[in-house]
Amino acid sequence: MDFSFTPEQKAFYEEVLKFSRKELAPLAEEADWQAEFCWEAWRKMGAYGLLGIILPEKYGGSGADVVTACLAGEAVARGGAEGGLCLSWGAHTYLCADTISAHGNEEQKQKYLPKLATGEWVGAFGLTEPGAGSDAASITTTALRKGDYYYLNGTKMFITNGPIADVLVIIAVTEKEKKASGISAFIVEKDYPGFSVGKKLKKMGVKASPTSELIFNDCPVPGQNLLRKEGEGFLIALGTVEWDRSTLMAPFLGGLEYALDACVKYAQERKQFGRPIASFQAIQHKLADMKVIIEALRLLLYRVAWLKDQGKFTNPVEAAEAKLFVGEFGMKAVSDAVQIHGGYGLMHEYPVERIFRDAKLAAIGGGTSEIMRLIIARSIFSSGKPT
Amino acid sequence: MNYELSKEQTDFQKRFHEFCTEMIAPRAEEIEKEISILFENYLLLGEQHFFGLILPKKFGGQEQSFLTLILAWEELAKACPSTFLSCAIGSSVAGIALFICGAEVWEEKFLRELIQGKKIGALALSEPHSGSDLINLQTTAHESGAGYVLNGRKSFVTNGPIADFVITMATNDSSAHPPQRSSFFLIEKNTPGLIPGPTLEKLGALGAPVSELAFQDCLIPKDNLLGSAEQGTPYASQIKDLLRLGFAAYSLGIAQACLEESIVYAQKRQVEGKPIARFQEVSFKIADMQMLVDTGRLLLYRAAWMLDQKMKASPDISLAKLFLSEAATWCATMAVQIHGGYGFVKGYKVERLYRDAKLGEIGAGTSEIQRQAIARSLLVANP
Repeated sequence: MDFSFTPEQKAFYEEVLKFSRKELAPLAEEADWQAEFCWEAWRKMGAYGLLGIILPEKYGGSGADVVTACLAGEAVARGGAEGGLCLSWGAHTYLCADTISAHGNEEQKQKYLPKLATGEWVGAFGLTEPGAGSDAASITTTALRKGDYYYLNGTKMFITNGPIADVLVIIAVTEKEKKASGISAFIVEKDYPGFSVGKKLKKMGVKASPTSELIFNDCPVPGQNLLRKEGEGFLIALGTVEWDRSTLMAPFLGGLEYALDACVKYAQERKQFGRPIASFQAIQHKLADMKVIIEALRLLLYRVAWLKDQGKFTNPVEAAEAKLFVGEFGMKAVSDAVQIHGGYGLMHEYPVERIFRDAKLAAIGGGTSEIMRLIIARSIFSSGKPT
Repeated sequence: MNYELSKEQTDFQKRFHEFCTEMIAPRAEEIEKEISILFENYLLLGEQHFFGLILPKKFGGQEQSFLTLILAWEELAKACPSTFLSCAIGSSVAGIALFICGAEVWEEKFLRELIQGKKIGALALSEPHSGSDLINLQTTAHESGAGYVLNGRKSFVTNGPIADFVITMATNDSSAHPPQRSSFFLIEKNTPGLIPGPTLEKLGALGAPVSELAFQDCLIPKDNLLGSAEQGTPYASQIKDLLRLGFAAYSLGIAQACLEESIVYAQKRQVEGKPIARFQEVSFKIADMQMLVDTGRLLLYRAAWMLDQKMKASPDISLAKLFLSEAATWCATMAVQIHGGYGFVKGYKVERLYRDAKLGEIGAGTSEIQRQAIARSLLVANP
């Protein structure tokens, strides 16, 4: 066993951290306040190579492995970048671009990946619907083949980057009777007729990440935009959401570290009753608890990343455990972070305030904590463990 | 980076697991009432080379890594927390402490036989008025002629009633600055003036005998000062880390046992014609147990790995112990809950595990002290 990072990985982390502190953090407060996607930050991330980080170099990506990609996500958030920016990045790079990279044919990859890698095009992934969240297999958006096109009809909900996406991977039903085996995946471009974006949703947190419904009204998608074969869409989607339980959690780790850094500083500077509040056990108790959560999450996250890099990722339990942990324990940590800051923790200029609002997503997006428990329980009770 | 154990380690784990399942676990309930089982377990574990896993080969040890030690500790703690408390946290750590303090002179007398499971060691650190506060010990050791005279009382000595030798910490220079005041001494059983108290009746880990120890003008030879007089504090720090590692393993073993018992029971017990495992109130508790156990295990393995890498690991050991001990209490509570009425009845393993678990949050530094240690590591790093 070896829990170390290589010197190159550590150096990379430090560089990205520096980049985030200098270029992204100053833009965070306003982006969250206005709930507006920050194009300036996006372009900087694109120029820095982050938006195509795991895409093959052949298509303009950086060809990084998953551990490195997680280090980037952690560093960006630890540096103080806004949570919605990290979420949009995650949906763009992993849910959209990587799905095309992993499952697209050469033509599809050549057409879509280069501009996704630089961020010139923004990507999105559409699975969830108003009536199908945890029960993803029950989606009702249809894709009916007629001649050279598939015609999409239906609605998608809570789609990250929906309002700004140029390229979207959409999961739809091609053969209803076959249930999960009758679901397919398509690449949709925003200009296709019959595709429109619902109004931008107003959210609790990750506010600068634009989220909306997607509406398909006899939207024609060229036959050559089918990913793989008909009926393989659900398996593709299951693979895609694995990212929700790995690289997309790296910014949660970074955000918690950013919060702890802020708490340590604040607790040492803030004086009450003639002494820094860091000298009171009640505050020390919370700092210690935050540290435990951070170190535990670090191990869980990088274990998943390492497994993915080994190509061993056939068991979803490790990913479910990591996501369940961050969802449940993350909330305690950010709540303590606000508490340590007292009244200031409720004020927008103190980053812990928005980190608190951002954190709730971890227990919901990309699979609720309840679904994570279901995955773990199912694995236990069907694994032939002690009876 | 590598999140997998080596083949050698998994083979060792499998073999030791089989040993514990066959030879130790079946009598984990009985041992609460019958101390002869504990003595038998000492010999069985000696045959498995358990006590000297990380000690040098020249004493009969195995020179294995801390990570391998943890693999064995986890299995034994799961099979029988009482045996683990006495054999690992009690005797094994006493043996390692003897080695840390420079044991060559005691090799023949105690260390070799301790490694074989034929002699039992004990550490006597806490005092009636000094538990969390080990700096202000009241037990004294004054130079007197050819030796030292010890006076004082030690509380909660694991193996107190059965130890062949005791390692204790006493103040030998009260004029010195607090951390430099104390040194380590070895006292053999039956030394005049060494008075073990009666075996304490405890909430849990009933199979491990614990008592007070009193020193009344207890004269010991000069050679019984372990190491040099100034080295009390660095020794104390290493021993403290080992004890905390021990309790982290204790808690992990208990939590894992709670998880396994719950999985079995949830599949057997039926309500409304189906196993209770099919109800989310039950299956989700078990999923949470699994998540906590796997997370705690990673923290513990990492702490052990850090020791193997010769890194400074104290805060990380505290972290693992804190997390695992609180997780074990939660798992034990949920395990009893899943067993319903049966969880409240003797003879059901989880009833005993619930009582055993609590010690993890207290021994080798309460959770409050662990949080203090972790907080200090954050605040000192960022003055």
